Amino acid sequence: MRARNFLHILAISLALSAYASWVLAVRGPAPARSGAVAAPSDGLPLIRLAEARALWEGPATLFIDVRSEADFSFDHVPGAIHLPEGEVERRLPELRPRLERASAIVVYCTSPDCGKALWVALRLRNAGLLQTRIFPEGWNEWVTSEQPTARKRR
Amino acid sequence: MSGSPANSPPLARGDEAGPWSRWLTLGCQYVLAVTFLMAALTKITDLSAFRERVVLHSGLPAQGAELVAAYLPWLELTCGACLVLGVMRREAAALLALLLLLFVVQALVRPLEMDCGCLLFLGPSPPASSGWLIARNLLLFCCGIRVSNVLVWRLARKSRDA
Repeated sequence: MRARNFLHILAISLALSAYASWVLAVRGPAPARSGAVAAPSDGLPLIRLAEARALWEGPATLFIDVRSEADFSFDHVPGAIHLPEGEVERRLPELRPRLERASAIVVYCTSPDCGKALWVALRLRNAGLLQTRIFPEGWNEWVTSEQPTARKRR
Repeated sequence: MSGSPANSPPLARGDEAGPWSRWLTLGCQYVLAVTFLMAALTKITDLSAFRERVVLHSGLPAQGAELVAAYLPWLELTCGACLVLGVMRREAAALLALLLLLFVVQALVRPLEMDCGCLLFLGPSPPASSGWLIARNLLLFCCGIRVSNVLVWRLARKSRDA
């Protein structure tokens, strides 16, 4: 094994990577993918299960779980961030880069009776995150319709 | 397979094992090559989606995630191509073994909840279990070690130095 060969492989990969990054930069951002719709200009959109699932399958969607710590620890939508209502202001600066990057943010609670999703979604929207949506049926609908959950894969 | 040198797969310097061992090494080499070429092409055909997934769901700091997303597919492609072509194959296998080891450590320390969909050309699916991912990566890691001959190389060097 030669150190020079390692350097050759790393250099070739670096050159390809640099070229690809340049092409992506010149081409500009990719158009919105199916399911990941563009940010609405006003109002807080409410989405149904089918749309929530389509968004979850997209690469640039973030789910926000506003239920209690115990509920979240037990199970949640795979990839969801736990953000209880009382922690929004404190954790928003830390989460902002990820949230801004997401093409859609889906906030969910337990069921339509739980108002926390609305409050958190309003705060996110007021913070300039216009791509925020609410999935009112929330966790109960997600789990009863046998959608993937973080626990299922453990 | 008669085991004669004419029927044996070409091997790198320092590999003085028997024919069965040589065929095993060649098999490992092609398994690694095919796996990583598929993985690379899956990512490269949709680089933006791969980048979004890594940045949003890997748990890495944003800049680190950007670097990983920009560099990893091309490293996998280069190493896979080296293995297919038999050029710098031991070094390529050693790099892939190192990558696989990092993937295993990551799966043990902080299992990903989202399937990155970065190995095969598949549509969205529920994420595979982390146990299966770890087992698969360990198997491929063993292939990498076999092809890179890194243990044999180290032992030979030690005995030479002694």
